[in-house]
Amino acid sequence: MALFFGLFTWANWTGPTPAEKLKPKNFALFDLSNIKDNNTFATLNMQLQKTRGVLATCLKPADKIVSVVFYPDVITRADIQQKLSTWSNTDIIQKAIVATGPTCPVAGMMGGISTLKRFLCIRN
Amino acid sequence: MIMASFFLASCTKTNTITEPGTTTTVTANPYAGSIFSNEGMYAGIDSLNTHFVANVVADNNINSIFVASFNGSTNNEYNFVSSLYNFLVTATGGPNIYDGPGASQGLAVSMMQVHHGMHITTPQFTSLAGDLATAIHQCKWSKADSTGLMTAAASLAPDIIGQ
Repeated sequence: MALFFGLFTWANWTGPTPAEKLKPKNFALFDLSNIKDNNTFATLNMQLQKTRGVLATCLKPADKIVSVVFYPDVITRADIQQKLSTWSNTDIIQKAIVATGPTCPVAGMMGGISTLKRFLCIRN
Repeated sequence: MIMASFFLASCTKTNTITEPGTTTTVTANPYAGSIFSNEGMYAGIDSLNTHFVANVVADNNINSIFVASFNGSTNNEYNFVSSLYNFLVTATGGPNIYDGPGASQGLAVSMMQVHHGMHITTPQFTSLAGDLATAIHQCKWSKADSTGLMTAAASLAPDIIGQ
């Protein structure tokens, strides 16, 4: 109990940081290699950018990929994947990234601490 | 004890500019003249960061470096976006909110500690800088502020490359 109150006090002492006050964003990368017509890429990107909940996209026609940053409470990965598939009349899949060397430790390092603080902080 | 904690915590809040999710009235801008202030403060940096993240995710030269954030862990995604945001707020002359390892000793020391053992190459650093430059262009920043941030980013190269 004392441990909980200690953690609760710590989480609320400084309050949420400006980053913690922002609405959470997620991102996804989609593989467009099933699309054969290059003219489709630009159209898809324009449609994506007009989609509610989509904040930013980055289309790389040469690599046949598109990244999407979105609000997860407005639109999901599956929704975006479904829309891309519908618009292009082909199956679009999410692209997994494979580590080829040392990776950035920040996200994992800060994960536990920031998750705990977000959970316990009621000042947001 | 909890009430006392909240009282003390509320007394320590000294921000006078609008933060995300608040309705604090603007009474003074201690960051006037900084890139942070010129480009829309927290909202401006948030917009830049969003485009920057999209560009990095689609950058095959470097996205595998951030693989822990990229393959479906929404919590790691959140931490990745937040860390970049805090970094950009601090690097543009806003409040010092970057809290990565070694942050208390300055951004340069922090960058050196975070990238230790990663063996970042010059092409990888250049690629990331290119993604940032593209995001700045997408957000239509002024030339002076664009140059200012890119210069600040370039100054961190020795602390990141080859560590």
